[in-house]
Amino acid sequence: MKPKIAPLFQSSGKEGCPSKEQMVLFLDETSEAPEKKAFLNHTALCESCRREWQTINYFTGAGASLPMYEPDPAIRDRVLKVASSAGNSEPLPTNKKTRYYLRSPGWRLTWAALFLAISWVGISQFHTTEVTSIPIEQLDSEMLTLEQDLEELQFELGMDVSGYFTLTDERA
Amino acid sequence: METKQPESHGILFVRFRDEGDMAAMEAIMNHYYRPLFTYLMRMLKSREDAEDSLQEVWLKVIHQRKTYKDQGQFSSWLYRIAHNYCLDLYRKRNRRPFLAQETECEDGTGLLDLLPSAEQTPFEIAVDNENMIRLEELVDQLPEPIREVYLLRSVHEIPFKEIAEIQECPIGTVLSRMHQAVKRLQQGMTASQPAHESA
Repeated sequence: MKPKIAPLFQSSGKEGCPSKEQMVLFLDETSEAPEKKAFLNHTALCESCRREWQTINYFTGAGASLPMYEPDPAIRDRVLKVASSAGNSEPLPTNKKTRYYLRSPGWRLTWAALFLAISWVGISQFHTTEVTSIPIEQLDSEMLTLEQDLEELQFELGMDVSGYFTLTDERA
Repeated sequence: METKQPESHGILFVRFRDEGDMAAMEAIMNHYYRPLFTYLMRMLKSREDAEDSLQEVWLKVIHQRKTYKDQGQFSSWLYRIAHNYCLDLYRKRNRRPFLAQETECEDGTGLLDLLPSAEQTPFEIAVDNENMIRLEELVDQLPEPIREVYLLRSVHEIPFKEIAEIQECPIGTVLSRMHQAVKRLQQGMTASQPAHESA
């Protein structure tokens, strides 16, 4: 005769036996949990529950032995790089007062004005240099001047620098 | 079987979240890198998809780090992100979503012949390569929601309560899915046994 443990379980139809779902839930419980303890005692006498419990345990345990897959290690490196930059670019604020100070509407206008001023100064520094074009009729004299400059340079340095500079007339 | 949830991973993640501690983040990645990839491989059944998803899931972990609650289990949070990412991928590809009718119970009576003998432990059986290959095939054939419950509980040791949170369904549904997984695997293993063994 099966022991009476019905108050602990929802019956699966058989007297005193837990439902299949309840048995599955026992996987998460320690052996010391009263309900599981009672159930384990029950399986000693109930062949049906014992076999069901063994099946559940076997296939749950077998899953843990399935092989693991090995991903590309480059993904790990890429993720850690992002994690590193995310950690640096968004440090959590520790001072709420400072945060408000930076975000208050008055200061936003100040930051905007400062940004515009810096931008204007920056832009004014970058003048595009006009490329001086040499009229074709002056090209011969320009080549001559460059050749003279090169000779003077060689003389001053006392070495042959023709390997570093090549003067070519591409009109040919 | 008692589940062990490394609480320290939650603490490590909080250290990364709050202090930008990269050593903590590396430790977390070292622990979950392969298991998460294995989960994605078994859910998506494609190395290319799994590798893309692995990167995306980790990036989501980084970008959504402030949504992690200190009290929560880190593994559940991580796998919830992975689960949602897989769902999005299924939707984008017009693949069949998780169907409720697939989780309805089937009668699995009379299929207990595969049970290990008393002197053989589950581990001893698990190291049997032939059984493992067959089991792996059967796991891959499980319907998505059932497969996910089985993988999360058996491979990743996530408690059922947390699997219910990941799948956003009642715990009863999760328990039913796990039981179905066990029954389907048992059926598959029994069917694949040679006649002389089952006789």
